[in-house]
Amino acid sequence: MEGDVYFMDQYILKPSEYVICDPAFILLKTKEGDAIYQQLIKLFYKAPNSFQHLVIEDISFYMFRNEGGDGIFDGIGTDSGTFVIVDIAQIKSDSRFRQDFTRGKIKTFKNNDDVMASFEPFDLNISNGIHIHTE
Amino acid sequence: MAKSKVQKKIEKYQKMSKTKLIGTLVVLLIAAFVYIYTATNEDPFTYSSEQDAETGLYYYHYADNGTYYYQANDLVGEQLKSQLNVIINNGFAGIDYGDVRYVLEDADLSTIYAAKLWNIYDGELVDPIWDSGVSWAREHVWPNSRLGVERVGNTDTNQASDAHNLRAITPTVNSSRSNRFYSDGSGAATTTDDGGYYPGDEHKGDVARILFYMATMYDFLTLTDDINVLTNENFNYELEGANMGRLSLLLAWHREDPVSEFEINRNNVIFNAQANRNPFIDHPEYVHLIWEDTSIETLIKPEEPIETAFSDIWKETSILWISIS
Repeated sequence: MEGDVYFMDQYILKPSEYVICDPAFILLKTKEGDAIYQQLIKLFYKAPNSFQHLVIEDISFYMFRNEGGDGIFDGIGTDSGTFVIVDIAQIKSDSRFRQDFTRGKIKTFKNNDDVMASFEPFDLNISNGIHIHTE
Repeated sequence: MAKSKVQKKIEKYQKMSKTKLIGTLVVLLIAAFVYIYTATNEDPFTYSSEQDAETGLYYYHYADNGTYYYQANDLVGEQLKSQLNVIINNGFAGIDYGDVRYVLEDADLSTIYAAKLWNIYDGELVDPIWDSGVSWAREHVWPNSRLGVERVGNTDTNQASDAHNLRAITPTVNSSRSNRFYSDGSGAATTTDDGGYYPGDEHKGDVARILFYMATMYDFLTLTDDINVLTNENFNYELEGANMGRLSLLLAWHREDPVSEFEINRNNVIFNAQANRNPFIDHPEYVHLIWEDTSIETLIKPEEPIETAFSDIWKETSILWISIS
């Protein structure tokens, strides 16, 4: 399984509904789900201090790590030390992904216009007011 | 009247006897002092982790009067677990999640390679100074999503900041393990097909004893073998999801990978930092009494046969007599 990697300090998120969460949570620990997850972290850790746009099987993951590993930061939890922003429309009804976006330490948001997601180690800022401070 | 030669000799020998007597008394006094000093300054937490060669069961050791585990003597089962909960919570001074990083800089130092941290699972050796998660990150052995906790940030002090449950970890390995329960395997650490994680041959006993500690320190945490419970992530970060396993494997690993110098040292460092100890490093036999329905009598080390000097002499004499005959 291959993937594409892009590096920028900020990304435009087109109008849609998104989830911010631990990728280990959103991807199920089935054989199929784990295949994507392991590829995701393999690609990410080639440059773990950057904010990356990873595309695997046409699914976009905007991924970054926190400063110190596991934790719950501004209401979002992680056991992997990383977070992703994912367009829910891209993973809806995909059996490799969790489909319940109401449980767990995750955050969802909907934007009707473009918003900007920017990263300054190790904080995430989204122009709609969402801020995740992980240090 | 001048003393005779004999009288002089007698006086000389009397002096020598007195000298010898005084010398012997001095030696005995020094020996007694050394014995008393050693006995009273012995580390009260260091108990033997000697195991039965056949069963792997750890032998039982009574705690001395007035020492840390004294109130746990003669207890088994839930009573022992409850008493240990009291002991390790008494005086506990939790550290916040941010400061725990600096405790781990000492606690997780390798006992073999000087001035290097020994990362969990992959055994990577890294520089100990915290560098914002580049060389090492904080790993919750009992995952933070399974602790039933609301917040885990650098200023928080709760079950997720308990240093006994935190280990230095290579960041990629942290991501790979995520919040998987522990499952069966051998050799190096790896994910398993049932959604679990094998911690590696050198770390399996360590993780077992950490999980036993957590289930004792925080009595709302549950160890289980139920795979349906362990694979259900619908209750992450809620009390209903506060479980880990697999218990039967942890019990086996506790015997197969015994208490190590690394764990003993780590226990002492963390005790100095947050004023409590992991009882299953100091008294690994407690695991059998709490989770395996074992009795204390079963864990008493059998006495070795006493070979007296007389029986040795008798043997030697018999052999000599036979050979002469």
